[in-house]
Amino acid sequence: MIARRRVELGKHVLDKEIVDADGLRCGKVDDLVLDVPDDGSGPTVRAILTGPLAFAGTLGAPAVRVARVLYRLVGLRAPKPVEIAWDHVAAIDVVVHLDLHTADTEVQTIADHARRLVARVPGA
Amino acid sequence: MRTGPRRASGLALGVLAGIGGFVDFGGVITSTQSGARFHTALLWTLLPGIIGFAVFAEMSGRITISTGRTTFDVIRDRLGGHLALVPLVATGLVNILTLAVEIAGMALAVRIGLKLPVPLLAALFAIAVLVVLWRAGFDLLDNTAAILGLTMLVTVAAMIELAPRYSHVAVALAHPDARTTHPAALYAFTVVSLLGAYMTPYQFEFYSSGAMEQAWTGDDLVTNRMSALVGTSCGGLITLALMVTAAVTLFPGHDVKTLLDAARPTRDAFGTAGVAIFAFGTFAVSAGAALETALAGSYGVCQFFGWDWGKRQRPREVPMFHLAILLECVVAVAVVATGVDPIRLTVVTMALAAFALPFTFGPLLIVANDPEYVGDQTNTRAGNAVALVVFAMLAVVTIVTIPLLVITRGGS
Repeated sequence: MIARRRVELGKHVLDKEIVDADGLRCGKVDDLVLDVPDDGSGPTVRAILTGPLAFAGTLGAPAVRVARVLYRLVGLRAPKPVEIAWDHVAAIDVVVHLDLHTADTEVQTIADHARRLVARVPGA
Repeated sequence: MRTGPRRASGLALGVLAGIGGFVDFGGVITSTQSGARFHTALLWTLLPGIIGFAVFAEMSGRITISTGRTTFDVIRDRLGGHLALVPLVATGLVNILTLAVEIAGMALAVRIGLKLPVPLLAALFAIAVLVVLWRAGFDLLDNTAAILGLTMLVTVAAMIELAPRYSHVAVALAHPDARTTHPAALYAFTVVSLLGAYMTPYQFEFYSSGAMEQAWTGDDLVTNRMSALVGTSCGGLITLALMVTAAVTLFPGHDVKTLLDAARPTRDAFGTAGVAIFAFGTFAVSAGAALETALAGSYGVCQFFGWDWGKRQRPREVPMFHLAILLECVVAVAVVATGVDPIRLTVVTMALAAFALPFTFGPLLIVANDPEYVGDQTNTRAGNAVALVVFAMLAVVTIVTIPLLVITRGGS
């Protein structure tokens, strides 16, 4: 029999740091997405939402507008909240560990765009 | 095992936080102005200021060391994203204003010798801040600013030279002087502004994240306590000297409307050389505080959103960290460029700094009592008693700040 640990989404998952397979910090769990199937089977957690846009989405329309300005600053015109499939969660302790290498993914959209700007400056 | 130099550099962090905290441009202006306006009647604010600073610094340092996590990381974790937005926005706005104040301070210090327009100088120094934060390592930056800031000890020398009645100073430290406390609203506003100058939010964020940058561990808890104490005592002595010398030379009848007014006590003591050293010292502490403030603001935002941050990594590894610093500097220069009177901006910003304090102090107090975060390093009963008194003081300050700002029209 597999030992199970009780994990509360609000207390143990939401607002936690996300760390990728290389140990890089890549944002916070800003929101969670549930799948609610039509066939009457129970809801399951589908994905983590992360990034300033995802966070702003939990606050309302004015905050989303502010977040969009931030994305435009780094050259992103039509940003979407970043979704990380729940399957990629490898472990949950004080942070949420992913089995992904975020360098190959879009998890850090805003940071990756900022990196392109920053990397042009000498000494970066 | 901790080696000597390591401890020394840890102590330097504390001393810098102490000097940079107590004596930045905000401290120079508010202390001399209160001496000029109220003689020694506000010296008593130093004791609650020092105690509040030490408690706040020690607690945020201990939380970082024992959890391995930083202020805004744990605050968001404990309070949740929405509630944690309150301290983030409050300290964020105050940080940007403080950065504007410190950059204006660098500009005003240079203007004592070189009459260039303030906005131009401010823009130049903001660029200098950016370049230093881009290139220099954390320890270099930290230690240089700490050492240069020690030139402000010239005000202590000036106090000795001007020979105030020390018995009177000692009495004033413990007893508010009722005869010189009018007008009451301005007096109360000055108390708020002084407390904000002693305990500006950026220092605590800088201090605890700085402990992370230097990779402090459990062994450093002693250094943490030591430096919170040594740093504040150093800073407190300089502040005392600023206030007392201003009381001797400027009270009554002279106000501090420019930095040159604030330099008058050192001029009376040591002539033009005194003014030059004072200007250099003011520049150094303002520059140190500007660097710390810019870092602190960016630390906070990055920790809140979970981005990598720090001076240890190359800029391209922490792009959001440097982007945030850039944005802060741009906004700060824009604030200075509006042409607002820098002295007035300083006094109002320090009052707002005091206003913002409980929003981080409160959550930290909760975390410091939560063994799920700090393990066996929770607050002691005595520690909590002192911390609660400090919190009550800060809460009262927050409640009265805005009405006082309106009544005194920004302390003018």
